[in-house]
Amino acid sequence: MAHLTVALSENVLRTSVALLVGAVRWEKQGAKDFGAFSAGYHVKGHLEGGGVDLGSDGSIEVKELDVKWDRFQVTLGLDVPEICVGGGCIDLPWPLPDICLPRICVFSGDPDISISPDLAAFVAQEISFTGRIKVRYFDAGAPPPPGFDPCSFLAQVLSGTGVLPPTPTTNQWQVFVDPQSIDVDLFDFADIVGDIVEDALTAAVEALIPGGWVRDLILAIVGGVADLIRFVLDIPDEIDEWLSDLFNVSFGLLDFLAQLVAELFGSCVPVYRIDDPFEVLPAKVTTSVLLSGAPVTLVPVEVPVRGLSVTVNDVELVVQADVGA
Amino acid sequence: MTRDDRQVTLNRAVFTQTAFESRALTVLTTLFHRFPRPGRYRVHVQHESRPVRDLTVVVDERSTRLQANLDLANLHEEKGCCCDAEGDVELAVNGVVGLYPSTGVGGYGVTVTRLTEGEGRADGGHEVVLDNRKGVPAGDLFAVVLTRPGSYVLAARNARSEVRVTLPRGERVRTDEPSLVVLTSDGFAPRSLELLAGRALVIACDVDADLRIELVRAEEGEGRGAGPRRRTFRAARPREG
Repeated sequence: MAHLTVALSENVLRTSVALLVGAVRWEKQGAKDFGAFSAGYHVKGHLEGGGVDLGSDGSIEVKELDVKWDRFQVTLGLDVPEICVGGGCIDLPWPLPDICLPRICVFSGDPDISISPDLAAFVAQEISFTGRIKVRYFDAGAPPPPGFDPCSFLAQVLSGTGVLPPTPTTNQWQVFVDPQSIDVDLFDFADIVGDIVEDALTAAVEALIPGGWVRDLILAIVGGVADLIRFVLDIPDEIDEWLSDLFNVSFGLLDFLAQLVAELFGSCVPVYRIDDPFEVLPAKVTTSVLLSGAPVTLVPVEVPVRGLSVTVNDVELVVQADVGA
Repeated sequence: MTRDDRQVTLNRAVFTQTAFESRALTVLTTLFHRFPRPGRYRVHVQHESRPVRDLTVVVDERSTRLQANLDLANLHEEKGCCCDAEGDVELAVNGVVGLYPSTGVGGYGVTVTRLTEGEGRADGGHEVVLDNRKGVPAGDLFAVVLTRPGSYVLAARNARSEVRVTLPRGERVRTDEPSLVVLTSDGFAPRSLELLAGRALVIACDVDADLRIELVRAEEGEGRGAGPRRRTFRAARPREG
C-alpha cells in the first residue's frame, strides 16, 4: 500500500488545465515562393476555453479548446505576366519568308503586386485531444541529452513569458497529459474572406492600369482582372477554398497547431510537478525553541518521494507514491 | 516575406502615339527590310537626337536565319540585341531584318548600306539600299500597331486608305493576328479595313513609298474599368456539405 495518496477531482484537473491553457500564446510567420506568385503569413494566436473529461479507461479528453487568432495576416504577391500588343506572323508568297512582328509590352517589366489583409476576425478553429497521463522523473544531476532539445520548437513559437517552466534545480516528478490523438479543425475560410482577398488583389492590379480606353484595351488583352488573378494563382474554383488549402497543406499550419499541443502538453509543460525530495515543512527562523529567546534556524523538513504513479478513472485522478529513504 | 521591389513603369508611348510615319520609326512601328543579295551591309541607326549604333548584317547563302528583329531602343543591351559581340547579324539570302523601338520617345532613322568587297567604310562608293527618312523601298514592309480606338487615315504617294480600330466587345483579344495591306502603283488594297486595337497593320510595299498613318477621329472606350466588376471566383454550384 502506498504511503501517500492524493485524489484530484475532475474539476481540479479542469482548473489546472485551464491555467496552463490560459498562458499559451504563440506567433509564427513564413513564406513560400510558388513561381508566378508568392504567399506568406504572419499569425499570432492563443487558446481559450475547453473542457476536461476523465475516462474510465484511464484516458483524459481535453475538448473544444478555442483557437483564437489575434493576427492572421496573409500576404499574397503576384508577378503580373507581360502584357503586350502586336506580335504574330504574316504569310508572304515564296520566296519571301514569313515575317513575324515584335511584341511591344505595356510595362517596362513584370509588375509585382502585393496585398496583406488581416483575416483574424474571420478565422475560428477548435482543438480537442485525448491523452493519457505520463509520469516522468527529472534528474537534476544528469547531464542534458546532447544535441536535441524537445522543447526548442515551443521556445521559438511561444510568445510571452512563464509558459515554459525553467529547468528545475532539484529532482522532480512531472505529470503530463500526453496527447495520443489530436483533432484540429481544418482551416475553412468563409466566402467573405474570398471576397476580401479578391477585392484587395483586384484593386492592386487595377491601380497599375490607367483608366478609360487604355484600361478597356488592357483588360481585353488579359481577359479581365479576375481571370488574370485566377490564372496567376492557378485557382481552380473558389478563392476561399484555395486559401484553405494554402493554410492546411502548403503552409502546414494544421501540423503546426498539432505539434504545438502535442509538445506543450506531452513533453514540455507538466500539468503537475512534485519536487523530490518534497518539502513538508519549509526552513524557518524561530525564537520559541531556546529559553533565552535567541533565534534558531530550523532546517526544512523534506521527504524523498519514490515510485510515484498516477491513475485515472472516470471521476478523479489519483496520485500515489512512497516516502522512501 | 521579402520580395524585390521592382520599379515598373508604364510604356506611355504605347498609348499616346497617334501619328506614325515610316520616315521616323517610333514605338509601335516596325520597318522590315529584305536582303535579297548576299554581301555585307552596314546598318547605321540614328535617333533624332543622337547616333545610336552601327551594325553589320552579313547575308550569306549558307545561313539559315531568315529573320532578325532589332530593338533600336535596346541595341546596347544584351536582351535587345540579336547580334554577336562585334555587332554582326547573320542572315540568309532573302532574309528580313525588322527594325523597331520598343520604348522611348522620338523617331529613329536607319540607313542600310551595301559594302563593296574589300572596303570597310560606308561612304561615297557604297550603295545605300535603305534610308527610311527618304522612303520605304519596294519590297520592304512597314508595320504599325494601333492601340487607340478610332478612325485612321493611311496615306502614301497619292493613295489613301481608311482604317477603323475598335475595342473588342466582351471578349478576350488576341493581339498576335496582324492584318496585311498591299501598296501598289494603283493604291492600297484593300482600300479600307477594320481591325481590333492592339493588333498590327502590315503594309507590304510593291512600290517605293513614304508611309504615314494618323488618327483622325478618336473613339472612347466603354470605360468598363470604372464600372462594376464581374465576379468570376464564385462558383455557381453550391458547396458540398
